[in-house]
Amino acid sequence: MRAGGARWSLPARGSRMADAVLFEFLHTEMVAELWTPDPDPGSGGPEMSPSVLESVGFRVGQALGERLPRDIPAFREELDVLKFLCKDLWVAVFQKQMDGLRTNHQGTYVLQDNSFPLLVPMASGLQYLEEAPKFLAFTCGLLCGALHTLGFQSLVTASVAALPAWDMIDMFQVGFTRGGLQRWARTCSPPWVLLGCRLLSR
Amino acid sequence: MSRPAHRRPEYQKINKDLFVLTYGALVAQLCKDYEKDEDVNKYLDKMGYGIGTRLIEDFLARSCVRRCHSYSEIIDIIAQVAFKMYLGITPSVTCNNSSRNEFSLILDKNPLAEFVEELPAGRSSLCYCNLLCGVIRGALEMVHLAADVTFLQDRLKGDSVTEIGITFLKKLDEKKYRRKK
Repeated sequence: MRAGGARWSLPARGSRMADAVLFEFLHTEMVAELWTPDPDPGSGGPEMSPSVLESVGFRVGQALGERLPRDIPAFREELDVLKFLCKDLWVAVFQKQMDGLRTNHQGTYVLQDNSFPLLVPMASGLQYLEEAPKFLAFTCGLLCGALHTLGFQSLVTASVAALPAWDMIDMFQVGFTRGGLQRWARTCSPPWVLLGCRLLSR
Repeated sequence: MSRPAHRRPEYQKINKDLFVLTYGALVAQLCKDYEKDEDVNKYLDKMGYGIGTRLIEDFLARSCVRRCHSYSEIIDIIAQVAFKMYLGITPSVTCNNSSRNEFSLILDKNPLAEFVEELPAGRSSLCYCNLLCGVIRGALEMVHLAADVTFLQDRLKGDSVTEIGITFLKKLDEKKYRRKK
């Protein structure tokens, strides 16, 4: 039973606190209203412009970065910062830790979430691969904003069931081909989210 | 990553702050996109409406509201159950007319504006929390109640309280209102 004729059904909310639900609803509405596709149709596919959602997320990430309690007086190395994001920030925001963190030890990190709460579960199949980036833009901005507060410029991209498109794909030669990942991810439910994070400078 | 997620109280506060902070960032973004306050207000109301039409389902699933027989019962539920559940506050309720279809919710504290000291410069007509009006309107419409919902007073504009006015537009049709499972 759905009110308003929305396309997707709501995920089971029994376990979510009511006030956490408000954020999810707001996020869904922002995705519906603020996401604008690239007006140039000839660019080879629905290239979306995520800047508005990302910048809203960035502001929120900055504010959260200031509020998060930090026991560690100073991060000894970059990896500590990323672990802080994966554990403390993610728990504060999504009530769960990130499920995986990998790095090439050259400033590039891949964060893996196997059950990302903001990704509205849709019917299993390929259509979510197209829609999913909309639901990740805010969170990418959030990570950038939090990193900014911690003193880092960064680039964060996200993908579902596939590696990010940029060149850090090389570090995942071991056992992971793009096609293999996509095939595997299609059998997973809920969608499997990868966030690629490259730290640029302090 | 083998340590289980620790539920520190600070995290729970942050989780509550997340909605308020996101809302603030959204309003800031809309102020960048729209020059006129009325346009921002309308947009917030529209987004709130969209949220309200979905939130009502969540609300009915979480609460055990019984069937209502009057507008004032509905208003009481909005104030004492819904606001309490989602925002942690209980506005007081007044009825503004003898035909008992105009009501006000008086908010002493407005959690949405927790981090807002004052409206931005040049934005004196901004209804910062206009999302709330849209939410209430959208939720009521999903249970077949048409209502006008606006801010009558706003602390951020210098008033002593924040007051949301709800005017029901049609006679409540008892047959149509059913508790949704």
